[in-house]
Amino acid sequence: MGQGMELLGKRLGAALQNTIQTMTGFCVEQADPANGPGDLQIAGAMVLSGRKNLLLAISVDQKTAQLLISYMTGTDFRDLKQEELQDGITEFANMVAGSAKEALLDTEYEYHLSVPFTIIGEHIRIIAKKKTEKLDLFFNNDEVNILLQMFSF
Amino acid sequence: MRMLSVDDSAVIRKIIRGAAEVLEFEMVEAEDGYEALKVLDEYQGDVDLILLDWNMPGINGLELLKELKSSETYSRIPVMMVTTESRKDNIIEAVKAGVAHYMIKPFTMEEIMKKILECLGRGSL
Repeated sequence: MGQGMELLGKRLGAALQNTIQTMTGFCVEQADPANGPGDLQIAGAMVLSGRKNLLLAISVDQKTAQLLISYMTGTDFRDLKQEELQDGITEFANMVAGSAKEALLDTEYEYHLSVPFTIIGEHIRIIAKKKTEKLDLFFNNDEVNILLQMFSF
Repeated sequence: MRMLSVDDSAVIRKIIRGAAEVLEFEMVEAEDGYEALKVLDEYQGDVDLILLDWNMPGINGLELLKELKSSETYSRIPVMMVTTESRKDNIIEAVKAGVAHYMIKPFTMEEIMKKILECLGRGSL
């Protein structure tokens, strides 16, 4: 992995931790991806365009989505609609990309934001072509599991 | 007091609605710029504050802001950008276009309520 990708990972990882804490109160720490994020069902994603084009994706399981959006909106998780979970996780991707944007100014990864989108399904996996630089960062605590993925192409 | 929240995220509108309820303000909402213009027409401009996202499909927040500020009916309504666009040049561009306040996502409930009150000249919490 190149130094640029490492810097990108640090900035986006810090942005993710800050966004989750600010919006939900949950503190998450980086963990070994080998411990696995489990069965991912909702991903918020965003294309970031610049000198290098990036795809950012934040993927979670159903339980994590329920907890995060419940705390984010102050709504009992049983009253949340599936569309709200998808919208909320997608908004996290938007906020993480936005938060890291300023910190990546004047680097090869400086980018513009686009409109985020959602990927849903069972056992979501995003697979990149061989020459795509890729970085997976896994964040968790006792209650939530979050996979942050970056692809540079 | 009536606020209009314009954001393509239903969850963000829900959070802002929660803030409006605590502040005992009425909130109306729109999920994009076109719908915002319809809502403003419906209320004949009787809105005290507009909270506006930047990156939305269709008319983006900055384009809508410019349209509002060039309108005889709506230019008096203060607009607060509530956005992930955090770069200084974005903020300067929005200020030049006439935005009254600028709030960068992510935010806490307390922060958004404080900004809303500041925008309306109602002091702090």
